[in-house]
Amino acid sequence: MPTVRLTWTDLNSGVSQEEEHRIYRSTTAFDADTLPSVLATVAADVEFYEDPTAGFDTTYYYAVAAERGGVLAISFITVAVGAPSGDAGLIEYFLAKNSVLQSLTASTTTEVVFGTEVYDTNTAFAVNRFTVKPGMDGFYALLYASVVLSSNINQDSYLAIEVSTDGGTTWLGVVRQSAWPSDGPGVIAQVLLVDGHIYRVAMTIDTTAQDINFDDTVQFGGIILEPIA
Amino acid sequence: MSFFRAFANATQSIPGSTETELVFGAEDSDPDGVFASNRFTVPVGWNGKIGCLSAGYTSQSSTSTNTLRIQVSTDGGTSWTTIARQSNQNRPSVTVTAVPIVFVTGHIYRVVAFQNANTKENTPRNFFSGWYYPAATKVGMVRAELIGDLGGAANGDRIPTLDLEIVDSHGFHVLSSGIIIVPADFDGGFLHLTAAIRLLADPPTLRLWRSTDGGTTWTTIAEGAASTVSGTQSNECSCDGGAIAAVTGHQFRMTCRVGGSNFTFDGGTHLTNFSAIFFKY
Repeated sequence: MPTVRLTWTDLNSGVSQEEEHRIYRSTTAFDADTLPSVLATVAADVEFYEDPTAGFDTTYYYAVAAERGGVLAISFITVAVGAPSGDAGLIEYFLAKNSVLQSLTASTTTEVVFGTEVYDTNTAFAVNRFTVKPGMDGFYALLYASVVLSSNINQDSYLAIEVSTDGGTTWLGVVRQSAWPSDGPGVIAQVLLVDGHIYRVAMTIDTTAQDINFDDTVQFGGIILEPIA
Repeated sequence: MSFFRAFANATQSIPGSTETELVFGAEDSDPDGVFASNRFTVPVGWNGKIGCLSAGYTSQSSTSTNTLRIQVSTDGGTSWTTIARQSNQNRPSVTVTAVPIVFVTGHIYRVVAFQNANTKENTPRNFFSGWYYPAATKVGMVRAELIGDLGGAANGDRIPTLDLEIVDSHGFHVLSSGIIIVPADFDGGFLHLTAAIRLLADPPTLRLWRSTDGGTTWTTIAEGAASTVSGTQSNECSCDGGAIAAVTGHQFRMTCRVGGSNFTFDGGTHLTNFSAIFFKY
């Protein structure tokens, strides 16, 4: 999704020092008497705001208000977000991260849980897995996954991206990174997609129980591209 | 244009246990002028585009802690947030990838290392690259894998014969040599390289190479390795080669090296492979 970045110059100081900035947004024009609900607030003296919730091919009307004691000083701007031209062959991109600490059982392969979806533009990611949709058959994917472990791990431990060609019953390694004794392995792969194939991330450890930390860099991401001859 | 690649052209002292921004003193490609002073700044033309950043790090010797991070600043370089992280241990090399990224004008990206005291090697394997998905006129892909077990000699760079072509959309791959060659169709575009290795035992060092003179001379452009400590093995690794310019006739290959003992690739799995996605716009 696009991100709209608003910037302004803060001229308020001293007795007119603002207490905060309020951001307003609407898809229809408005003025000081018809302000929509507050989209976001940012602290005093901050001079920018990034709106990650804007959509393509839409005109947005924004206002930024410096607020002090309930009194607003307002500036308006109109932003036209274009269509994603040039991205016609970009079919899907997804990024998921973990949302809690995950315990790993010794001598076991454990599927990594990604409880937070940051992007999933074609709804191909669900319940920790990326499933190839019919419209993606024969397309190309760049996949990457990484984890952060609670401590350095032992021999015969590895992180893997795995594929299932039978609906999730059996799994085959696509790429692996031996982790021992690192605490933060990552794996990258470029694959040819087949309708119905499912991809997951799995961590195999040896005889010592371990945790995957709740960390912003525990993630599973991918970009799916249409072949163009 | 929609990619860049910078690399190290000097050694760099890395202090112990201190987050250190890496220096990339030379540019392999930067047609949009987005890279300067070791950092990538998103230009207006990349705003809202979807892409990928990659980095590689090789130190002069093995180090017991070796973490590579890609970070972003949304406030002009004052504060930084790690968006991707990968670590290796008791090996000198590691790569890291951040994908997908939605680029925002003015955001700044850098690469930092956090490790025991060491010296960053003067090599193109220390790189920082990125791309966004362009208004492509051509998109192609090659992925080749190893069918059967294959031996390699100690302390030598062994090129695996990748005899199973999963996809080769534009005749990129030379089956007999395992080399990828840029065809004229993609001249002026770029490609993103990745590779992976699984050995029956032994910790591999995986290197990606480029030749610009028809295969006479080769330069390493990226390196990955499996973590290990002395006396034991781990045997699988992957490597992100990042984005690099596509020039007609340029060649790319992967090699595996194991110090001190002969080794064997584990064929018949997907786990030894060499791939690239090509873009022309």
